[in-house]
Amino acid sequence: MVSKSNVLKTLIIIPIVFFRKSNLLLAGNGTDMPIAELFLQNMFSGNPSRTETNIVIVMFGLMEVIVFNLLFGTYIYHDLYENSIYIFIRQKSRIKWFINRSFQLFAYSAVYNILFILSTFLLCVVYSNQEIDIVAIRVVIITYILIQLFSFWTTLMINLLAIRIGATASFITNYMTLLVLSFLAVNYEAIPIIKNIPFFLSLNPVTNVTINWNDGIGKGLYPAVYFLILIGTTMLLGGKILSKMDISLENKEKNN
Amino acid sequence: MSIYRNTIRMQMKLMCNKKAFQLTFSINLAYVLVTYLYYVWIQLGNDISTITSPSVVFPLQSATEFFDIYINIVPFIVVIPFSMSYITDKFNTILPALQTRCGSQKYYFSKGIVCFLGGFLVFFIPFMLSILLNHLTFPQSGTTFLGDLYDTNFDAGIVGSNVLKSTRWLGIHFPKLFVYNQELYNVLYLFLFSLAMGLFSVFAYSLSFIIKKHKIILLLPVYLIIISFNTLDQFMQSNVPYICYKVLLYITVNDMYGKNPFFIVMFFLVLTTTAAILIVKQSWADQID
Repeated sequence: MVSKSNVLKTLIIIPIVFFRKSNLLLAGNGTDMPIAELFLQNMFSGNPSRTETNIVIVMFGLMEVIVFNLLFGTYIYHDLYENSIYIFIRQKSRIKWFINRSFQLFAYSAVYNILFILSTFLLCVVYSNQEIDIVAIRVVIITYILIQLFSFWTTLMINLLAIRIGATASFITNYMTLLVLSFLAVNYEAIPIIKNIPFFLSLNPVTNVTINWNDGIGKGLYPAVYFLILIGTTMLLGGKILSKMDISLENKEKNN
Repeated sequence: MSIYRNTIRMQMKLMCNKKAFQLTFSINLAYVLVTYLYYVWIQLGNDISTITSPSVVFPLQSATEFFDIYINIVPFIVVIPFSMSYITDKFNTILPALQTRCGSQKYYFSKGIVCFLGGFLVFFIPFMLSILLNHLTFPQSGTTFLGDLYDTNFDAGIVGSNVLKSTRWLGIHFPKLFVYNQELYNVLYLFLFSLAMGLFSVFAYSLSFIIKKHKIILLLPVYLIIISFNTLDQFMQSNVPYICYKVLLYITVNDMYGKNPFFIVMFFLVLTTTAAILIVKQSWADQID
């Protein structure tokens, strides 16, 4: 069921994008840069190249995903600690319930990211002096799919981990993992042994969010398939955890 | 007064036993230890004249190896120690019991004070340990974060004459203290950083009267404020004279230019006033007469 608070949480992205990208509106003269390039620069804090960036810029660029993680970090978990007894005495299959809730989360994530990507793209179109071309449309679609899958997967992980350690600790753990992964991605060339094998770079989820960061492996198809595998595994794992969970789940929110 | 002291003591005990407080403390301690061990490891076996000074490997210094990772976590871990305790008390339904024992107003004010102390101590103690540890391990070799003391660009780094950007605020703050003793300079910055963290903690606590349902969303406001000012800084890059709006750069050790002291004082003044208003309003709202 679509609740008012969840719709509001989803719509919060519009003012955030307009504030964050308002330089495109405020700057007087447009640019002759192709829309696709302008869009990528604005999506990832001005620098789409992995080797020419640093971790602060990467995390600054992932801000909208982190906001989604925080807003929907207890979407499934909240139901579990508040109403698990009422839900599971009526629901036969816990796995089915979990998959159903995951799809609802996926739908919110899809709407949130559509608003995010479309508003950023529209601002770029307004600012650019160039016409929309097929490359721009392709870049927008690929970026949307990757950001959408990534934000859904990380939020699902937060919800699942929260069952064991509570929502706050779960978010912090997830965020710190993201930071370490970003650090490893940016400093990949300095890691001994694996630095010459690009395949290891493509296993890092952070490198798959942005186009070109995994050295072009699969050209957008590989990252999407990789994220789908990760999501599938997480959902299966989540279903198993829920099946074995004590129905009178202890509310971890009360402890920390 | 004694009731206040007792309430604060009780809340302090509560805070120290909380997993959230221990988690934040552990994250800070792990960060300073990892930084320390990293610099010990990379300088192991070096000649004593080439080993860096203890002040250079201070973990609040922006050029240290893991600083970029750490500074990204700060907006979140500053909220964890005790800012969510009001929501926890409500969840556990012990709020009426606590308020009956010490009085509603004293409950809110003492929690605010403990929040500040928690936010301050959870950062101050691990970083102070790091200063002591660095001092015991590394020799005073005359290097600073602005380069060697005998470097021709050292003076330029202090007064900011090497900055090409048009700004009124050049050079580092507290230059005399820096020249006199870099260790004391680091201690002063640690004090300012911990003070700022304490204020952020109280601010997040005051917002817990508004965001009552989900603890996790309480992690958002401080992060959004810091990110908003970073975005503002990005827009204002070409403004003359340039003012740095990156809040965390004011309270850590770095040679960033354009740091207007008036801006940072006003920023924390507004933050503290907002927190004070919200706490006073909430304490009044819970009173019958």
